[in-house]
Amino acid sequence: MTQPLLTVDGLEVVYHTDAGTLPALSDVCFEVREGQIVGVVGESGCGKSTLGAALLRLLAPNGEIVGGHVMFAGRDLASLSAGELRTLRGQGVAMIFQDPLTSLNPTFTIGQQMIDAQRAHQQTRESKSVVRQRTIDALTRVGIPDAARRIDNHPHEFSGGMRQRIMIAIALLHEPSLLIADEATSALDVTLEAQILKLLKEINAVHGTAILLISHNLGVIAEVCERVVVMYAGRAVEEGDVYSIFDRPLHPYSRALLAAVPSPQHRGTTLAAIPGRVPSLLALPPGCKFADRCGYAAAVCFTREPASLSRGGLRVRCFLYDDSLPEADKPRADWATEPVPA
Amino acid sequence: MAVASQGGEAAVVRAPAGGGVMTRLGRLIREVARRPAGLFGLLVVCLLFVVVVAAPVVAPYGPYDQSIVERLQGPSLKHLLGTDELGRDLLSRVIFGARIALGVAIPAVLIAMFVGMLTGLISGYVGRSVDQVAIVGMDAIQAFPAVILALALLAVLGPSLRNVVIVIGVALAPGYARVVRAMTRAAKQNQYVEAEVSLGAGTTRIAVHHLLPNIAAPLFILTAMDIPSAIAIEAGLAFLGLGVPPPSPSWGALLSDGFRYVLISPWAIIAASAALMLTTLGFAMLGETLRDVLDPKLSGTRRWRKR
Amino acid sequence: MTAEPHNGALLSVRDLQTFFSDRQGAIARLLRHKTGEVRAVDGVSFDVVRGETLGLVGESGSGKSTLARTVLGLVPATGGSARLDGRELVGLGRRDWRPLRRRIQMIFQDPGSSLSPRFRVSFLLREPYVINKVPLDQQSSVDELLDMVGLSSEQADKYPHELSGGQARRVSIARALALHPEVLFADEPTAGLDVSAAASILNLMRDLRDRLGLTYVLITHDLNVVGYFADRIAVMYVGQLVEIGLGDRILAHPRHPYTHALLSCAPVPDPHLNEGHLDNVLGGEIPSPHDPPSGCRFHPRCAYADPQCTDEVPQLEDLGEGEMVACHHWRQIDLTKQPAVAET
Repeated sequence: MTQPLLTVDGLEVVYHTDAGTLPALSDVCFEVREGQIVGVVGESGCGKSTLGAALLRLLAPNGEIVGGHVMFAGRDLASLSAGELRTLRGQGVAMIFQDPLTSLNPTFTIGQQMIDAQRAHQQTRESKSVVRQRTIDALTRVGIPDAARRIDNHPHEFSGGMRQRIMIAIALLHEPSLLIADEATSALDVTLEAQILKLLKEINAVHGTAILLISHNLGVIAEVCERVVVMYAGRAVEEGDVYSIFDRPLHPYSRALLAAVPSPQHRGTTLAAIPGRVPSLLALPPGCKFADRCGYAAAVCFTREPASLSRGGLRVRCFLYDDSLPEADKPRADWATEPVPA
Repeated sequence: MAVASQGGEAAVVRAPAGGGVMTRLGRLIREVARRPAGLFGLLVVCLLFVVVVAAPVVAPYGPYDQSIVERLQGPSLKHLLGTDELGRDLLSRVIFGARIALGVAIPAVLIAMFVGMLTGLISGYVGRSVDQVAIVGMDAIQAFPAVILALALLAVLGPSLRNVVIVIGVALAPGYARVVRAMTRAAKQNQYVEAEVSLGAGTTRIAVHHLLPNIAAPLFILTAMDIPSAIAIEAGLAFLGLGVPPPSPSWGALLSDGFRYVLISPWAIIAASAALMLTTLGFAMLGETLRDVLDPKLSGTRRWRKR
Repeated sequence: MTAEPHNGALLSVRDLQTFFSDRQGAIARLLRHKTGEVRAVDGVSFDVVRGETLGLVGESGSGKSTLARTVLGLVPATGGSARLDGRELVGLGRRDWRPLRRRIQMIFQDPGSSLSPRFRVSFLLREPYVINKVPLDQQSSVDELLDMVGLSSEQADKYPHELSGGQARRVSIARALALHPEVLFADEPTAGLDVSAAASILNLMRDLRDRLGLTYVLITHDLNVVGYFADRIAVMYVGQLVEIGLGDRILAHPRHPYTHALLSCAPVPDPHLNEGHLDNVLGGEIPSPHDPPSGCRFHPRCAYADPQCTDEVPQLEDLGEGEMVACHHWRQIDLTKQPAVAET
C-alpha cells in the first residue's frame, strides 16, 4: 500500500482562554489518500473547524497543538520551518472557506490578487503575460464566464457563487495535492451549492486533487465523499467509507445523528432528537463523551474513554465493539452485533 | 459556553460573559488594570479624584496664600514645585486647579453627552428631514474650532464658571450626536428591533429600552476620552483670560501668568504643563484601554505568548 | 392572477407587492432622478387554511422573508392585499395593528439577534403583555410559557447570550406564542442549529401545532424540513410564486422546472440516493431582484424556454384544490424524462 497523502495521528489541540484550557481536539487519527475525497462531519463544538485550521497551522493565537503528528507526503508538519510551511500552504495544501468575501481583498482586482499569489510562490520570474494567461485559464476552468475581461473586476462585482469559484481557482493555482474545504458551501443556496460541489468533484476527477471536506451538512457529505470521519466533542468517533457510515453506522452517535434528520418519510412522526446536549469543552465528563446521551451506555462508558478500534476498513471509538472487555461489562445493542463486512 | 467559529476561520474561543452589574464592573476594572496603559490611566484618574476631593487636606498651602518674599522660587523643601509671581505655592495652586479642571470638564462632558445622545437618538431613529436638519446643525457647530466657538459664545453670554461649562458642552455635543446617530441607525437594523415592533412596541419604548442600553457602552469611552479635551479647552480659555476670573488657580491661568515670568522662573509653566499632560495622558490611556477591552472580539482571550 | 379564496382561508394574500427604492435622499427625489427599484415581492397570491402548515420555499432573493415581513406590517406593502380572516392588513397604521398583533406573530430567523441582549428572559417573556396592556387574567405566567416550549424555569433569569442556539429559539417561540396568536410565521426555524437541536425544535413546533391548533407559514430553504413539516408547499423565485400545492405531490411530481431543479439539487443524507445527483446540475446564477429577466424570470436557466417565455410573464394557473403553477409549458414538459438543465 502506498503511503497516504495526509496522515493525522493522535492530534491534540487546545485553546487557552481566561476560563481555562479547552481541549478542542483529542487523539484524532485519520488519513487521506491521494485523489480521495474525505468528509469530516459533526455538529457545533465537535472540533472540525479546529481540525482544518490545525492542519495548516492556522490556529488562532490562543490555540496550540500539544500532541500528535500531522504528516503530509511523508513529512511531519511540525518539523517544517516557517518558510517551508508557507511554501506548503498554497502549493501542497490549499484551503477554501465559507465566506469568500472576507477572504478576498476588496480593494484589489481578483486578477491582481491571483497574480500576486502566484508570484509569491515562484522561484524564477515569469513574464507578466504568461502569469496573466494562466490566471485567465484558471478562472475559465472553474466556470467564470468571460474570464479575460472579468479578471479585472473587483470581488464585490461578483455574486456569492462566483466568489466561491474564484476562491477555488486561487486554491488551485499551484495544483495542490490536497484541498481543504471548510464549510465551503454552507452559505450558498442549494442550486449554487450543487454547482460548487460538482466543480469540486470534477477537480478531483480531472486533476486527482484529494479533498478534505468539512461540513455539518450530512447531505453534502453523502453526496461527495468517499470516506467519512464523524466527530464529537473533539474526538473522531467513527471513520469509514461513506456507504457503511450511512447504511450501517457503528457508533451510537452516528446512528442518532442520522435518525434525527427530518425527511418527508418522517412526516407525522416525532423526530428522534438526541436527548441532552453536547458537553461543554470546559467541563468534559470522564469516560466516553457521548455516554450521557447514549441509549446503550454501560458503567464502563462513564469511567473510561474508549479507544479507537479497527473493524475491517472502519474505525469506531465505542465499547460496544471492544472485545477485550468481559461480556458482563460490555454495553449491548442488537444492531451492533451484526457482522461487519470486511 | 460558546466556541465561536466563523466559517473556516480558526475559532477564537471565549470565556463565558454575563453576571450582575457589580461583578461586570469588577471584571472590567481588572481587565483594564491588567494592561500597562490601562493601569497608568486608572492610577492617574484615581489620583486626580483623590486630589480633587481632598484638596484642602492634600495641599500644603491655600491657593491664595501670598508671600511676596518667596516669589518666583524654584522647587524647595518648603515649596515642592516652587512659587509663582505672588509667592503662592505652585503645588497647592495646581492641586486646587485640578478642582477647576475637573469641575468644569466633567459637567461639560456630561452635558455634551446627554444633549448629543438625545439628538443622535432622535436623529438616527426618526431619520429623514429631522435627521437632515440635525446633521446640518452638527456640521455648523463642528465647523468652528472648539476654542473659537467657545470664545464667541462666551462673548455673548459673559464669562463665568457656569457659562464656561455650557459653552464647552455645546462644543463637544456634536461629537456624541454623530456617534449615537450612527449607532442608532445600525442598531435599528437589528432583528430585535423588528421583533419588538412585531410585538407592538412603540418608538419610545424601543428607543429607551432597546436602543439606548446597547449604545451606552461606547459612550462612556468617548466621555473618558473627551475629558482631556474639555480640560484643554478650559485651560485655553483661561489662558486667554476668558475663563474663570483670577485669582482662581485654573491651570490655564497658571500658564498665562507663568508665561509672563518664564525667563525668570519657568516653574509655574512646568507645574501647570505637567499637570495638564499627566491628566490628558491618564484619561486618554484609560479611554483607549477601555475601548480595547470592550471590543467584543478581544474579550475573554488571554494574550498567549508562544514559547 | 385570480384565484378564488378557499372556504375557511384564514390568511388570504392577493397580488402582494413590496418594492424598495434603491436611491434615497431628498435631493435625488427632487431632481426626479431615476430610482432603481428592487421588486422584492412581485405579485404573490396564496391562501392558508386554518390549521394547515404552508411551507414557503425559495433561495436568496426569492422574497420569502420580505413577504412575511410585509404580511406582518413590518415592511410597507407597495400594492396588493393580505387579509387575516377577512380583515385587510395592508396599509394599516400602527394603532390599528395593535389588536391584530394578538392574532398573527412571527418567529424570527436568528434568535441571537432577535432577542434584545440587555434583558433577561423573564423580562422578554413578559414584554408582549406589557406592550399590549394585556389584563392579568389573560396572561400566561413566565413559567407557563417556558414550560410550553420545553424550557425549565431556571432559564428565566438568563440573558440571551447565555442561552444555547436551541434555547434561544425556544424563547423566541415562547415570545411569539405569549399573545396566543392563530397564525405563526416561522422564518428559518432550524437554521444554524445542530441536527439534534433542529429535530427538537421541529418536534416542539409539531406539538404546539397539535395542542394549540396553530396555523403555520414555514419559511425555509431546507427541503428536508419542509418535506417533513409542511402540508402544502409554495415555491418562490425572484419575488414570484412559481408553484404551490400539496407537499407530497410537489416533492414527487413537481410541475415547474425550477421546483424540479431545486429538488434534484438538494443533497440527501443517503449516498445511494445521491448517485448521479451532480450529473445534471442547474446552471447559471440566481438573478438579482434589482434587474430580473424579462417574461418568465426563470427562462435564462430553463431547458424548456422558448421565445414566449422571454416575452410573456406566465400567470399563476389555478388547478383547483389549492394547486397552482406559473409556467407556459408545464403541460408539455415531462420532467421525469429530461432534467431541467440549461448550461453547467
